[in-house]
Amino acid sequence: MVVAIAMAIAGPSQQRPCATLLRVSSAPHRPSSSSSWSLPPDWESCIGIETHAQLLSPTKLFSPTRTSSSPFTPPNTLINPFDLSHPGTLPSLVQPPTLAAAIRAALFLNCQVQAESRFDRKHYFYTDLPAGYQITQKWAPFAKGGWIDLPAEEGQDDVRVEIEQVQLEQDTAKSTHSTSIEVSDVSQAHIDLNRSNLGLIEIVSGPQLRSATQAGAYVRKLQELLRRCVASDGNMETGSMRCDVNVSIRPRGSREWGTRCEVKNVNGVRFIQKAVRSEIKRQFELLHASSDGEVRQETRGFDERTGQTFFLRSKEDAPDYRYMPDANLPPLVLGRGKVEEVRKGLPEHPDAQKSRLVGKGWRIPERDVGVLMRVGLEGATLVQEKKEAWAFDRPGVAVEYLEAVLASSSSSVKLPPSLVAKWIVHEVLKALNSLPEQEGQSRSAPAPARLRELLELVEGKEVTTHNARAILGKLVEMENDAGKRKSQESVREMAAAAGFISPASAALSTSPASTTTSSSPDDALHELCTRVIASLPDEAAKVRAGKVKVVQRMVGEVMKMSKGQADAKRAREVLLEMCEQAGQ
Amino acid sequence: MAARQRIARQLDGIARRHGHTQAASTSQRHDPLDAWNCLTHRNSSSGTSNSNAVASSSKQPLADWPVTIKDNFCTSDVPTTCASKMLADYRPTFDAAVVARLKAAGACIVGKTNLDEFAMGSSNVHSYFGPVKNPAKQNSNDEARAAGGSSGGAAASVRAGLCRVAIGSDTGGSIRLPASHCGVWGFKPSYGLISRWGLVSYADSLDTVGIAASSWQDARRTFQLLSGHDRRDPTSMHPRTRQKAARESQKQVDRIQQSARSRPDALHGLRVGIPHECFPAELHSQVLPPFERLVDFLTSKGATVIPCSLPNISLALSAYYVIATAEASSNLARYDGVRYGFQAGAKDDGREPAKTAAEVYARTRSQGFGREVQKRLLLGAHALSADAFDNTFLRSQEIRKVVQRDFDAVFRAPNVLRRSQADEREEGVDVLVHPCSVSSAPRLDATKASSSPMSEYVQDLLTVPSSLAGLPSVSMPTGVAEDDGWPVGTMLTAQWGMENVLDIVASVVDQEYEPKDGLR
Repeated sequence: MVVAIAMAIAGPSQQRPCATLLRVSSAPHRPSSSSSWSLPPDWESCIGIETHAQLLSPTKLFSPTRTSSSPFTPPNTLINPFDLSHPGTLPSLVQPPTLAAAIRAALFLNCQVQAESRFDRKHYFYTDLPAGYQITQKWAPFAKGGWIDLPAEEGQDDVRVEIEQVQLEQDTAKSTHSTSIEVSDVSQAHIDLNRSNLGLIEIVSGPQLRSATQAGAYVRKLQELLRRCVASDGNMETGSMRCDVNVSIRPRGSREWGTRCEVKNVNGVRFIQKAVRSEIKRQFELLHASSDGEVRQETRGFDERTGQTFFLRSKEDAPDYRYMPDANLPPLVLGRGKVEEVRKGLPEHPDAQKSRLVGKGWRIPERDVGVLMRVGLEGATLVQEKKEAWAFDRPGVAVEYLEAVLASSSSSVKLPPSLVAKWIVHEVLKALNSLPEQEGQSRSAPAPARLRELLELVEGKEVTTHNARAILGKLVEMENDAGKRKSQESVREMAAAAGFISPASAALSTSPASTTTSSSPDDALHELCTRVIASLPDEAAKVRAGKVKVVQRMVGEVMKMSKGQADAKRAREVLLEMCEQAGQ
Repeated sequence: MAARQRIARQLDGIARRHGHTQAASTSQRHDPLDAWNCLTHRNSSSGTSNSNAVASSSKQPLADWPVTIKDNFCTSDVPTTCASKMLADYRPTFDAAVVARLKAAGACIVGKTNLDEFAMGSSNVHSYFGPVKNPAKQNSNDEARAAGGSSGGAAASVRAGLCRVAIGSDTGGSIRLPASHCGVWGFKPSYGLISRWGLVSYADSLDTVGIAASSWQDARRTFQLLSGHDRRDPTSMHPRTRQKAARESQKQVDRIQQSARSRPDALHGLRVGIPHECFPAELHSQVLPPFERLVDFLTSKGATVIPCSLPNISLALSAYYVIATAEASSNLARYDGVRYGFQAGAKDDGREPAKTAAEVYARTRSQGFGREVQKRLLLGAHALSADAFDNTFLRSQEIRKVVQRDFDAVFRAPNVLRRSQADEREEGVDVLVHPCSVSSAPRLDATKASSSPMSEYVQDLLTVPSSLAGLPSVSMPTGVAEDDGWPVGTMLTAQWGMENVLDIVASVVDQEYEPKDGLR
């Protein structure tokens, strides 16, 4: 099918948009299935991935033009004469915030940021490339020699994927093709130059990936890393992250690589896995079609509808990009100080965070850690000011929340991290998700101290898990309702009001009128004192040894646990009495 | 506005003196005020819409100076064509940095000057608007002569009296060569001192803003106004580098002035080098007598003349053409007819509509660019192609470095741009002098024959070395060739950033040198 394309490009000012008719042929489709097929065990596939990720920065790469992540930004509004490649324009030196984002990414990918890197031009003619060349880094890239560790999963071994290089380059404009209704068989290509000259990094992996599953895991991990360090939003649907996949196969144990094919522009983790599977199968079938079957080195496309790759061009037809050093831009020189300054501002590396949370002292189940670390990943945006409310909409927020709950010490009750993690993963997230969705409003978890209060009640067996869930639901609801957020009611009061609190602690009040249960207030006080003695064994021992003054600390704890409801004088007597008894 | 009216009267007077008859044969536009076709656009002298019509006050450094701008500098109020069909109707959205500075200084921009298309040429014959005629000899019975290129319109506009100063560009001699042919001053400052923002790129690593004027004093004043750091040009020298160069040049100037103090010979102690490689076989003997007279003058002023050598500059011309065309093939890739400028097939031209994007580009570029530009773009694209890159482009970059080292080896002052800075070399020279062109201006009909394309490229033989090295270089009018009576220039070159050293010599020549014929 031949489609005619009319291009209409809006200029920035007086420039009259001009239009022309172009014809392009659409991609062929070859329906077949590869989903159930797998490579025989004596063969292996080798996969390397080149990823382009848009850098999160308030400015473009070589111009001070501001950027926007909003999908509603009108086309051709975020542009200056350089972005449009107007005659007489020159690039500005790399904008500092864009550079900082690139350094963050390189450091999270364990790369060596090079003291000096240089810019080169890659030439080709295309409607979305206004200068006829892209400024990139061919000969002296910005960072080298990194890696990404992928843990073992789904029957796959763990693997360290090398990051061969990270290069800084310009994005192109964005062309959108749409079929016009008025003129049959004519479609239009709209060029949006807002994307022109945005900062990109190209991340080139080594060929260590061995399966479609690993390829998918690599891309997911890359997304996580870029998002956690706020280098990119890693969004493949909107095209701010795009992948080219290199695939070859060889008999297992062979030292030589098979001939590789590059599948261009596969955008989505599932599509990448499909493209890899389809390409592995195609190459295997080619090699086994006849005794002299061979794979030819070529560039292929991926058809999302059929899940198949298709021929784009052979090695012989590969364009000569006529690379040339850019004569305008000086080498990018990065002192150690600059890199270290950026390193200091980095959040904890996800690998380090994970081993901390599953390791000694924390012992949080790996699954829960995984969930906690994934919360808010998709919300990597430029604006990262600390909000007061705990909105679960930015990378790393759930782990920070966990740490805040554990750190908010209202009492000496020690909550096990795994319990808090379990509650966040299973209850807080569920409660947040069950809130009605509101446009533009993020949903916030209750203040860490309040969750802690609730969990202490659970841990102290004062409130059942079932009832605590209900209270949590209420807390989340209040937190996300502006009118109720300021409520001063304590969790204990809420539990009591709901009739959830167990008789033992509900009866702590010294006021006889409030005693609604059969047991006496003194019984409840005795129970509380027993727990305090158990939780403060050192103090109890000192009291028993005659240091009576120390009992005041224990009284304080009783008061704290009873929220000031207990009778302090009586508590002192009970505590001294109990210590004496225990000492005998 | 008084200035504007005065300029209008001057222009009228000029037109009357020259008559219109000379124009008819070559000029495509018949502007009675511009018999030499040196303007592509003339600002209306009565217009008030012109944005530089801000009330100029006498306090402004260039108040009321009539100035022309080469038509490859962006001007937001009038088109910027680069003398190409590709940009014949192109109107930039901004003023070039130099244009903005001139306007702010009170200068009156009287027009845009003709040039070789995209500044590619040495005779100013490759222009969409036709060739520029050299105005140096009035009422001559000669065949018309070329003004030199690519800033032919700039030099001619000075010579014809249309302006006091002309802004041009110099990539490999584009301001110096036409200045030499037209008998005016043509100054190319050190690379990186004047902002290129708004100068349409030909070859970024070589492009510099150039100044043509009828006196060195005017050229120097304009240079001082335009020199300055500009963030919009990443090759604009940082203030720190400028200070370093200023300190070094002050040292040199102090030494020379110290030596000449209380002596009648103002150049006493100045060491002038004459590189013997700058007298190649291609050099026409007609340029030698005026050159020798100038050297005698310098000697009479106390300068010591020292023969010296730049051993590798015989390679400079070919290296220059590889680098310049390679960069041009990249810089001109943006002219594809999609966003602005000429587009083939936009109007019904009776051909089959283009079927692919590539076809639209090919037609646009084949029809929009002239022959010379196409030739250079192809040369440049070849130099960058995978097979040729190492042996042409990379090799030329190496030659460029060697040529730069040759210059560093002859100058007394160290090059402040080098990382490991050498000390001052007492046996070195302060300036270099040699003829600026291999001959006087070629006849227009000879350039049109274009039987030997090399003959045009040879014109740049003596100007490209200092372009490759980024050095300050000025073509001084030094009289006329004895056989044909057309002007010949002498080139004066100094170490990078040593404009003040250049100034010592140029000022003396400007004020005291009387060429035999009295024609400057």
